[in-house]
Amino acid sequence: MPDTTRNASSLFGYLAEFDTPDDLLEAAKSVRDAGYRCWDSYTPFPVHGLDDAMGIQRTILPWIVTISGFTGCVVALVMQWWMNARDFPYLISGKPLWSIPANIPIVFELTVLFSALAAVFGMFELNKLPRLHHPLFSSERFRRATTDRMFVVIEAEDPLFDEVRTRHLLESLQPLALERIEDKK
Amino acid sequence: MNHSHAAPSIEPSNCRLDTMAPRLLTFGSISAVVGFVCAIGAGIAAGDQFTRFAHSYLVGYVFSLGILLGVLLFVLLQHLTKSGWFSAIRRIPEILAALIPVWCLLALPIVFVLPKLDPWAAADPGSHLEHTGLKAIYLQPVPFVVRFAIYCIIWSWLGRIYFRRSLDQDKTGGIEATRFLERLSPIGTILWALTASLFSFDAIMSLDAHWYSTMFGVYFFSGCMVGAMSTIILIVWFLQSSGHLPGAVTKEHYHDLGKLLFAFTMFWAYIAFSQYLLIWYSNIPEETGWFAKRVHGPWAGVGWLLIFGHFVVPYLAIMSRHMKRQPRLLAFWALWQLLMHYVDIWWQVVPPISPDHLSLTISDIGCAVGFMGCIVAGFAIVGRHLPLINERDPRFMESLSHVSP
Repeated sequence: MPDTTRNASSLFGYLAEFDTPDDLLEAAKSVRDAGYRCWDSYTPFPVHGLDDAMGIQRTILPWIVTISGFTGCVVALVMQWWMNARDFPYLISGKPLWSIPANIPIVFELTVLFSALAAVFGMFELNKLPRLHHPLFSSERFRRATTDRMFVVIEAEDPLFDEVRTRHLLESLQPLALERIEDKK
Repeated sequence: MNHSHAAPSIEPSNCRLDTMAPRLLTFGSISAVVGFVCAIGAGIAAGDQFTRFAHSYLVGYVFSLGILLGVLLFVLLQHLTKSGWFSAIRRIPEILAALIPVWCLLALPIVFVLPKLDPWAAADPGSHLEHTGLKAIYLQPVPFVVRFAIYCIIWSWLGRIYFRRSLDQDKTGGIEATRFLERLSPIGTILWALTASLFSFDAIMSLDAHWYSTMFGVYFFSGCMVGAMSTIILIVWFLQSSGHLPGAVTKEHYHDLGKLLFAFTMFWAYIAFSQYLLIWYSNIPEETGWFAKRVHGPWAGVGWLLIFGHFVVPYLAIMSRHMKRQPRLLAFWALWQLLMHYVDIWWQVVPPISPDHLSLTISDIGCAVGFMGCIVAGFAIVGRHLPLINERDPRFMESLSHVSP
């Protein structure tokens, strides 16, 4: 029986707990400099400078939004041309069948709509959301991530991850606590 | 709030104009004198009893005053929102806004040339323009001058009080000045909105007194803010690259200034197009007349220049984060937008007196140079002995370690 439970759970990573943003930033820099890639920091509020300390690259989300917005702009123009000038020509108060000024409000709206949807769903995709469960939720200690504690988690799937050396690295950062997180399947 | 960023060391004695002040003063004064002399010379040479000169002066005046008004509103808005990032650069807009009383004096020529500008102010009242009701009362020289005087008093008072209290804070260092200015800012903002809208009606819309657009005040406001953000960026960039703001201003501040320039560029286009669209769509003669002069014939090219030069190109350029964080590139686009803002005002004022050909005269350029020279000289005179940063602002440290998201 113990064997089945053991097989059902695997190592997710190591959780290190810190008290202040400064401690967290120092720890993040050390983990970054050690070359880890699959790891993350958890804080109850935004900590300025954490992106740099973790060595996170700029998000590509702005490009996704820009391209989507431009697509929305073109779609709106083509749509109005097709509907009002090509497929079903319909004269409205003597204006040209395809008149740019009248099209601009729709162009504006579809540009904004496409951009907004791309921003929201692009963010979801890049953040791997929605996600119903996370192995960290099994840790009692981790609950304080939403109130007053900062955490660094190095995940086992990182190529550099090694149960002993990673543990040593985190211990050298002098966390308040160090916890082994199991991924219970 | 952020303890991880060591605040850059600031030596307040380095943040002064010092030797730069006489050079700026000389440059500004010479520009002003040469500009206005050339403009007046061209006005005499034109032999039209200063009609064209009057329009040039109005363009330059509205352009330069609009910048200072935009700067004043920028100061008010920062206090209204209790912004932290603003502290490191606040002295620069404060000095500019404190120059507004000078522009009250520079308005005097407009009062004298009013009959050259506005048919309703010409000697024989009601000869060829029949205005009725309130409009007949509103559009008269005396009410015009009285209104103008009221605007001047309000703007000067606001500009000076934000400047004075900031200087007081240099000595006392208390939080009271900040609290007081924050409490005053909503009142100031409301007063600003009312007076600036009415000013735009009086100064520009009344040139074509039969035309009206309820959106014109917002249109003026949006242009002012583009001009104001451009001017602030240029001055901050100039002072920092000449070594007068060491350390205090970072890329984060340029980024935020750039965001505001970007936002108001967008806003200007939004408002300008909204005004155009409604008039184009309803197609009523008394409304379309104003645009008919500007979108047909030679002035149409200027309209296209504004669409692409004041909106599409700078909009795409300043959208980039990289662009906003490179002070030199941002300064280039600020200068660009400042020139385009001038084109915008020029396009609003000049077409009625020159409907058949584009008219950019020596007096136009001379007045623009003259007024900008006045801003430079005024900045040098007022800022001569002042620290260019307000290091005892309670939010100063917050501003130093500011990170633009």
